[in-house]
Amino acid sequence: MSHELGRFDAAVELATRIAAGDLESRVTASDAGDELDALITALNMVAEELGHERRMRFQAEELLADELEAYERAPALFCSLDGDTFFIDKCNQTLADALELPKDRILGNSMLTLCALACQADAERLLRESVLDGPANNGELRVVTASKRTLIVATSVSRVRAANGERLRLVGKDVTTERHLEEQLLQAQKMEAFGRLSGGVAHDFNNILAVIMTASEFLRETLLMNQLPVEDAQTILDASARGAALTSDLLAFSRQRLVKLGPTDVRTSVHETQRMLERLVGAHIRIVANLPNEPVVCLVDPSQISQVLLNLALNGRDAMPGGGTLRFEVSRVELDSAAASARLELSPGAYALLAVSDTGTGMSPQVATQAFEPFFTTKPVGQGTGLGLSTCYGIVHQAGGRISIYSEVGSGTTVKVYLPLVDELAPGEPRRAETAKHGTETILVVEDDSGLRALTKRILLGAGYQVFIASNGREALEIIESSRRELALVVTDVMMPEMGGQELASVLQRTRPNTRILYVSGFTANVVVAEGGLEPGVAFIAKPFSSQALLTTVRQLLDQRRG
Amino acid sequence: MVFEVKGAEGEPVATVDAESDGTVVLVFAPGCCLDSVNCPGLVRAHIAAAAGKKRPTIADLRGLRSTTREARELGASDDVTAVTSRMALIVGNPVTRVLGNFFLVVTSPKYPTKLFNDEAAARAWLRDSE
Repeated sequence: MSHELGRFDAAVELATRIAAGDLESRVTASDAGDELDALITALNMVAEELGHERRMRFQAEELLADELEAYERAPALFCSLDGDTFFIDKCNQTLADALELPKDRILGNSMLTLCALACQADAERLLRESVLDGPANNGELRVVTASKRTLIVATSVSRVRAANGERLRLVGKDVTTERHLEEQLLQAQKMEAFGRLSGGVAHDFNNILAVIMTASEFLRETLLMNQLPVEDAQTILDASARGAALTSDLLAFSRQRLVKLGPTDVRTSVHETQRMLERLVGAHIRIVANLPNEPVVCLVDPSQISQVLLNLALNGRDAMPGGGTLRFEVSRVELDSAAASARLELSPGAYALLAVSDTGTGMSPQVATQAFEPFFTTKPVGQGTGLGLSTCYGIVHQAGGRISIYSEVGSGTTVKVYLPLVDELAPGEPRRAETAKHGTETILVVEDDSGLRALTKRILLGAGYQVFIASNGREALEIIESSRRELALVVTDVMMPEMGGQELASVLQRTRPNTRILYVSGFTANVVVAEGGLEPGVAFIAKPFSSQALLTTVRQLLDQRRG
Repeated sequence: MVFEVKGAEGEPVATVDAESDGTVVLVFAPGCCLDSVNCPGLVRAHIAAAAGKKRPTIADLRGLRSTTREARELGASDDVTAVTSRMALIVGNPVTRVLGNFFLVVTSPKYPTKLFNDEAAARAWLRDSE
C-alpha cells in the first residue's frame, strides 16, 4: 500500500510541476505496466511535448528579435503583428520614419488602422490569408502617414509561431514613387497613342479639306461672275473652315501642328488673354493676374500660348456658373532633379510657371486623370468638343514643357503649365508690306495627292503663273532637268513617296540656288522646322490653305527672291 | 529474414521480420525504452525488411516500456512512411496503450494507423485493407 501511495504521490507531484511550468521533471514508471504506470508515462510524455513546444517558441522569438535588430536600420519597413488582432508589437525605425510617427505611436495599434480606409478590407484579407497559409503572402498595402500622405507598400507577410501565440512578420518596401511613375508612363503612352491616331486622321482630313475649300472658292467665284447666289458655296467654305479649326486642334494635341517658336514674354500673352477674356466672361467672374515685374521669356509660339491660356480660362469660366475668381499667375521656378523627374518628367532647370486657377466646381480624381484625353468632356452634348485641354497638352509638350492639373471637388481647379525659360527676347520681326498676288514666274508644284495637286495648279494658273506639276521629288527633278526655263519657286509637300520635299530641296539648293522652296504640310515632325523657328530660306504654308493664303505667300517669297 | 536490432550496450530493442505475404512485423523486446539512440537502427532494419516497398506493418508494442519524442518522430518520418502502407499497433497493458495513443494522436503519422489488443484482429485489418 505504501508503495502504491508513493507512485501515486509521484504522479501527482509530476502533474503539479507541469502545471507550474516545470517541464523538465520526469518520474520513472515501475515495471508493473498498470494504470498508475500508464498515468506516469502519459504525464512524462505531456511534459516532454510541452517542453518541446516551449523551446520552439523561444527559438522563434529569438529569431524575431534577431531579425528586428537586423531590420532596425535596413531600408525595408518591418513590423511584427499579433495573428488575431493584427496589433503591432514590434517595428523598426524605417517604418516609423516612413509613417512620420514615433515608434510608441505605432506600437499597440492595429495594422489596419494605419491603412487607408478604402483599402482596409484588402489589407485584412491579406493578413488573414497569411495567418492561414503560413508561407509568405505578397500584396500591396496603402498606409497613411502622419501628414496624410498615402504610401504604397509592397508587402510580404509570413506567419511565425512565438511564445505568445501566432504572429505575423511583415516586411515591406515603399513603392509609391515607382507606382506613380508607372501610372505616368501608362498615361503618357496612352496620350502618345491618342496623338498618333488623331494626328494621322487630321493629316489625311486636311488634304480632303484643302480640296473642298479650294473647289468651293472656285465655285463661289464662278457663281459671282455669273451673278448667281453664292450662299451655298459660302456655307461649304464656312463648314470647311470649322473643320480646319478642328483638325488644327487635333494636330496641336498630337504635336504635329506647324509652329513658329520664338522668344516670348509670357506676361504679354497673359495680358492679351486677360483683355480678351473681359469680353468673354461675365461680370460675375473676377479676373486676377499676378505677374512678376521682370520678363519671363520662353521659346514658344505666342499665338499658341494665348490659345492655351484662353482654353484654360474658358474652362475655368464654365466651372463657375455662379461666379468666382479666375486667377492667372506667372512666376519663375527652379525644378531640382527630384521635383522635375518625379512628377513632371522634365529635366532639372529653370522654368516659367503659368498657373490658371478657378474657384469653381472642381473635378474628381477620376475626371482629372482623363481631362487631357481628346474628346473627353464633362460638358453636355453639343457644348464642348473635348479638345480644349488636349490641345493645351499638345501645345505645351511641343514647346518642351509639361502641364499638370490639381483639382478638388467643390473647391476649384488649378492647371499649371511649365515651360523652359530662355534668356532674352528676339528682335521683333519686320512688318511685311502688303504684296500683290499675281505674277508670271514659273512654279513647280510637287504634291502626291492628285486632287490637291490639280487645285494648287489651278490657283496658281489663275493668278498668271506658269505652272508645272509633279507627284514626287524624283519626278520633279526629272522635269527640272529637262526644262530650260528659270524656275522661280517649288511648292512641295513634305511627306511624299520615293523622294520627299526635303530631299528635293537639298538637291535644288546645290543645283538651283536661286529657286525658292515653299513647303506645304500639316506636319512638323521633320527637320525643316528647326528649334526656334524656320531655317533661313525655308517657308511653310499649312494645309488646308485658302487660295488667297497660298497666293499671298507665293508672292511674298518671289518678291524676297527679287529683292 | 529476421533482423535483430540491439541498442548501444548490446541490449535487445526489437526484432523485424518480413513475412512471406509481405507483411513486416516489428516486435519490441520486453522492457525496451525506445529513444533517439536505439531508434535509428530499428528504422534501418524496417526499411531493409520492406525492401524499399510500401508494406503492411505490425508493430507489437506489448514489450515497450517508454518512448522519447525523438523516437516517436522517427517512427513517423518520411523514411518510414516510404515503406509503410499502413500500420497496426498491438498494445497490451495500460502503459503501451498510452504509448500507442500518443503515437497515433500526438505524433500523428501520415500512413493509416490503428490500435489493436490482439494480433489476429490486427492482421485481419491489414489484410482487409489491402
